[in-house]
Amino acid sequence: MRSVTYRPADTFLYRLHPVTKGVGTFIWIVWFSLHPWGLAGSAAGLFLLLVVARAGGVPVLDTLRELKGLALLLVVVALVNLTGDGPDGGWRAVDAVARVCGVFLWSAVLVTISSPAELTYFWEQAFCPLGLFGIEARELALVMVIGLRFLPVVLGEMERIRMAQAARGAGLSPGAGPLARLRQLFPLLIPTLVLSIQRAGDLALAMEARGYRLTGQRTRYYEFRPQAGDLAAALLMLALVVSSMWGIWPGGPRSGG
Amino acid sequence: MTRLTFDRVDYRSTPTASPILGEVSFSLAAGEVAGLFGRNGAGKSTLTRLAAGLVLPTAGRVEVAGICTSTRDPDIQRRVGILFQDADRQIVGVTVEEDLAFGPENLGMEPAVMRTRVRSTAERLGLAPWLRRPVAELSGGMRQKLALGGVLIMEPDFLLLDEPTSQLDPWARREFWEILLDLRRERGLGILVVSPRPAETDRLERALVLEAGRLVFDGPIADLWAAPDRVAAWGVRVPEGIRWRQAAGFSVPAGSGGNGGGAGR
Repeated sequence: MRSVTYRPADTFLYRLHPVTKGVGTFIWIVWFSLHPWGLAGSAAGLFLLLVVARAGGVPVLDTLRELKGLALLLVVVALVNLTGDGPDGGWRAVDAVARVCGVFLWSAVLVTISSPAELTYFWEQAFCPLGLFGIEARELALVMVIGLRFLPVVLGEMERIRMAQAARGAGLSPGAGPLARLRQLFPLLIPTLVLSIQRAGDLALAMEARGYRLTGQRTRYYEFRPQAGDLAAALLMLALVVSSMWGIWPGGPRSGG
Repeated sequence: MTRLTFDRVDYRSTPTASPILGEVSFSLAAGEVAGLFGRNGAGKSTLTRLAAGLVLPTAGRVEVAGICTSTRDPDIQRRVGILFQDADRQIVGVTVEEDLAFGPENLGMEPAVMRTRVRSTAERLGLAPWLRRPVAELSGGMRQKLALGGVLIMEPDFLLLDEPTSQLDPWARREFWEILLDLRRERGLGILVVSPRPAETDRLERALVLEAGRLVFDGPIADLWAAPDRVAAWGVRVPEGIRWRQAAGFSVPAGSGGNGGGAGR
């Protein structure tokens, strides 16, 4: 998933408000998973997605290449749908695969067009209802950002420990079975966990030294304001929702089989 | 003049534990550049954490610009910046810009002021082209600069450096010090360096030595080197350059870092 990462650009997609991007992605995922128009709807949806992404400056080919990572999942989805009842199992399998690809591709587009600050802002807004239970949305979002920031660092630590152990003859033996390989991972986990805990302690101290307080009134560096593009995106999302409901609703064209 | 003052400070990790620091008193003025020496476990890191208000003394007072750290006044964190050895363990943001803004956000700074400060700090440290880039793309030296930027953006009166240059190459170290000394000249930044490297001692005017939690020396750096045997007993090594100068009969400079003023208490 190397190419699925934020790539700064200045296009209409990038300029969308973080909430529009996040909610749009959610609506797209729900719509694309549940729309009632079968393979034709999925193919049209995929086409629309690729056109919008390309026009919005997303490197579509790179994103499509990442579908390779989903190969096993796609095969399983296809097989499950092939074995279902009815004569049109083949079409159903293709449709199911297209839907999985559509969900993945738009999620990848979201990551490509959203800076970490935008994702944080969206998470904060999404977590706001948790405030009713006394959970601070901003703190929760900060935890997720720190997780994002430290994931590569922790993986790097793990790799260093693995190499250090291998240098002393404790590496994974070639040709070992999956169970043996899993067992050989345990010596890596404990030192990685210890280092991560130490890092977390140091980071907490550094954050406090930089004025971080759970009770403090923090301001926000990034200010996000909705623009005309957000209105257009909202109308498009509304159209998707209404069309789907019309398709499924009793009395609609696809209702009742 | 703004001062960072320790007044008979004791510190124990628990009430029954033996003291990590005992009866430590000194005062650092804004604009001074001092080094804190001592063996491992002498209490150097604890002293910096006390100075930054991150831990509170068991007895005695630590004051920053007249504000006692036990008041937990958020202004203390603005006035005293601390930089640790491993930059990676103090960078919070995913991008350079985000990390620089973290401190000002915590202080409740206005967004417009924050943006101006982020821009000027990044320009000063040569990070401006990287503002929107992920921290993961920065080299070790750049990350240390970013960590420094995250502290300097708060415009502190004092900067505590806990072995911050140990992972930098000589050129990066030199650049690092040039930035600090410029800031000292421009706005009287007071600097306390923990365990300075031998090559950095020339930049110091004053030395503090901790031995088993006690402050056993506080004076001009030249005086510290004047008694090599005593210094060795405290676990401090006289830099080679100083030893050669002493052997050749030359006087030892009292710190080339700044205004040439002595360290007062």
